[in-house]
Amino acid sequence: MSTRLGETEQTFAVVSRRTRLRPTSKVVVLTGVVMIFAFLTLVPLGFLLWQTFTEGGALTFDAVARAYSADALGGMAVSSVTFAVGTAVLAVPLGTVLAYLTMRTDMPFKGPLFVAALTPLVIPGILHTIAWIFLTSPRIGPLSQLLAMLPGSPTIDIFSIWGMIWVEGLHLTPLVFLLMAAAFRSMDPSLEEVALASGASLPRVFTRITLPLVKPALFASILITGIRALEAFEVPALLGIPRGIWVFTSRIWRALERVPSDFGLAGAFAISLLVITSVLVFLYARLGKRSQRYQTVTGKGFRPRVVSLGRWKGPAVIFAISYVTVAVVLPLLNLLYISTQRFYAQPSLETIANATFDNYRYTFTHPQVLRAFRNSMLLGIGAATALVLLTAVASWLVVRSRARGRSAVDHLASIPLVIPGLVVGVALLVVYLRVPVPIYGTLWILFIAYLTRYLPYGMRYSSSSMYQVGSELEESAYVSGASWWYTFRRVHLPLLVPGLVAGWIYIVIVSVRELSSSILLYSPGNEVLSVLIWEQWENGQFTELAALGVVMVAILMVLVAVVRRLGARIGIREIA
Amino acid sequence: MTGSTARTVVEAESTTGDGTAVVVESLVKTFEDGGSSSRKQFTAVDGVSFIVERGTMFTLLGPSGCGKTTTLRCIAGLETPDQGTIIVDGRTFTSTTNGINLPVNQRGLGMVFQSYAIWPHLDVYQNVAFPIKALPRKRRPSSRETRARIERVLDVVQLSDLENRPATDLSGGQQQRLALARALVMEPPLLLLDEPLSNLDAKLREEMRFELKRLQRELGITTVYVTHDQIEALSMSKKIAVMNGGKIEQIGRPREIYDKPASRFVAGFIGISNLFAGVVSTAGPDNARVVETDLGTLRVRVFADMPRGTQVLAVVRPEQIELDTVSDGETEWVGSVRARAFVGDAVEHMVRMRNGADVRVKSSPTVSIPPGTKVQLRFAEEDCTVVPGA
Repeated sequence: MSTRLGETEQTFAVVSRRTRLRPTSKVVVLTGVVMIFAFLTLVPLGFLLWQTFTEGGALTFDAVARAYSADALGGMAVSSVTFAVGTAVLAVPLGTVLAYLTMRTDMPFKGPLFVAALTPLVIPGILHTIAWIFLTSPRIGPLSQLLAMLPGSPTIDIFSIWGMIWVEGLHLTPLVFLLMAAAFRSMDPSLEEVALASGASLPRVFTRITLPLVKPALFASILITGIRALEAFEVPALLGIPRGIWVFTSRIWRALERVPSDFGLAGAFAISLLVITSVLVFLYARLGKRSQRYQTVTGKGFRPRVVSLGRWKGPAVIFAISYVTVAVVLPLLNLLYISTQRFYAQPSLETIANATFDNYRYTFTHPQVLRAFRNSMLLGIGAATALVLLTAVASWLVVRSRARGRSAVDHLASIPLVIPGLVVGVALLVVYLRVPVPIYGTLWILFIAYLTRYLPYGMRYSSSSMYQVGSELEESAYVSGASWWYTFRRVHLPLLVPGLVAGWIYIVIVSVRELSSSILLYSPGNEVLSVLIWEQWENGQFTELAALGVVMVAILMVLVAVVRRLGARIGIREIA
Repeated sequence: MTGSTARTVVEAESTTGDGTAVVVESLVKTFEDGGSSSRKQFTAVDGVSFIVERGTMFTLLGPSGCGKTTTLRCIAGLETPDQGTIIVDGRTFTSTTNGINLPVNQRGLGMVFQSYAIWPHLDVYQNVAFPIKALPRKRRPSSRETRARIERVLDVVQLSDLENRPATDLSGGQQQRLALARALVMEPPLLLLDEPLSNLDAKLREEMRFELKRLQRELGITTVYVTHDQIEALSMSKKIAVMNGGKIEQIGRPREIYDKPASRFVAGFIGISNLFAGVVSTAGPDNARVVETDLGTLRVRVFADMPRGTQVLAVVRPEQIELDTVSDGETEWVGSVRARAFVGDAVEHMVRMRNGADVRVKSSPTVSIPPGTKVQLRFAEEDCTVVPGA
């Protein structure tokens, strides 16, 4: 028997029957939020389609034809797929094994490993890519130097499809780690114990029992890493373009960079990419729906008994230490080293002795840097605050009301999941170059881009918190005579606060990291931090860049620590 | 309100008189079952009507899914009925014929939820203050008056010394009192209680049962109480409506419900009953009937229209039966003891009858008959209630 019906229909009914002329605050607020959602998601998509498929008011497939008659099209398709598949092949096993070791075994140093495995999450993509270019540069990169000492002196060429896969794969490993850790955490350990007790070896238990049990999460990880790789901009731009390895995102970028920009061509590539990611996200959503029922993600401090590694303990520890060293410590340490140098030089006792804080002084005093800091913070905090409040209201509509079309609102808020950042950028460019609203060239266009991109994240945090507020808490407020708006402010909002704060910080973090929309939408004077790093890279300001990067990572790490603490308390699984 | 439809409401209001606080008439509520994909209608409340006398406790009793909670939620305004009329204290809350349905937050009722629904971010005082704070500024009492009212109601439920305690620190029983205080602070014309005791442990439940009854009597507040627990219903209510499948099976005082169940369902749901299937063989004057069963003949009085040939069930409670040794030639109501159990204040015997039916008999602890013994059931025919049979 459904007993959650009632209040909405009923209030709406009364509104329509008796006070038709004076809409309630509830109707005003909810309609407003739905309209903002539609504005954020549908308008850019509509303009993108229109721009791509019309020419002078007439329908045309000219741009699509241009896009698909390009000489290197075949090559682009192959390298896009190779890049996406390769990234998944690297990141999924790596993240899965790390998650298994931290969540389900008695391996020592699990706490530090957990933190270390998540650290790359806060490193902006652009910084991660540059850090790897530094590490592997032929003469002065520490990794190249180490390799040169090995017999046969192998070399790494990071500017290749393999280099791209390596860097992107390491960047996405923490994401797989999070997804798989959640799955392992909610697994019944007795299933493994039974297998062990019946004499199976540990690797056999892992492959025959453990992995099949977390199959949904595994498929989800594969899809998510594939989608993320297809959407990735930083790695293909910095590592692919110099050698002519093109993927969708770099093609979009190229179409807009040349003078005059070819919006039709960019749009055609953008829409192609959109179609592919939509299909993958659709698959992912279906997977989620099917497996959700069997997953328990709660805030309870349920800690399953762990599997004893036995003689596999040594290899496990060596594996974990190698991963952390290569993926986390080396890039960051090298960045830290470069940030203390006057010139980008090979590390030696001499250069370390000559360390200087000049680059940090520059970072904290140069007006351009300070402006970028201000812009990033303003945008991050602004977007996070707006999204958290909007999605809090929307989550009531989706989770608690029985209003017609409430699931449409949820779908509306999920649309940006399939729109790559670069495509959001292209779409908004098209909109605001056409529409006579003077926000192009201001921070507002970036603000709108961030709102659009992170709407799904805000919605996820808000609605999972809303599910935890029992409906009787709301009903008893109505019975007490409170209006909807009063109840929302006095009962829902205070109870949602932990989830909203976690979501807020999370959106601040991803906003500060954001590059792929910002790179298309910024204008001189409105640079954000990630764009500034991009510019410093192009200008060859490597040491200043390193210092700025270190500061950024430090700030983001503090924020992540806070969000994890809050997230753990309310039982939210975050997905970067 | 115009035309003939309006008259029924007015009539309902006038016929209720002073003694009636609540009128529920022909209430129907359907839900869409099984989500949006399959549009199946499920009728949760199917034509429920009753009145509640002022200052009394009225209980909706029935198994889960019988529609009792939905009925209560319709009165509260949390559900919108498809059909029906609800009048509380002369105010028409719902009248589907007139298109009236007062929003929940304008009904001014007090309600205690099954989960208590105590707001965890507020302390005890703030929880009770919420209904007052939610009033429009014009109607809000002065802060001194507010404080006095809250202190008074906290005193009534004996929570005065916990005023500033966070609500989450309270025990189950205290949360229950707090929920009650919050429901009473506006001095509502009607108090709605939705299984308020079901979340308490057995001992506390019994304590709170008496406590609730005492409060209800002392405050003289009209109350509609929803429960699936027959002991709560029997011990606390002035009147009980037994519900099943969205319909009311019987309305009556606790004794009537227990002693004179009107249907097989009520007989089976309230207490433990032995049912003997039979047929009316002779219909005499003054509702006297002779009922022939497999086990023997009964001369009883019935309350419903039961002509000759009606299939009936004779209901006898286990404690109304005595066991006797079988005298020679006796064939009516004979069986043999199959099992016995000492349950503290009584001894229960299970008797297997000639036709294979099992009968439960509750005797004083001094009676104890070993299994295998042949016995005869003895009961007064006036203790036997006859209900329509299958």
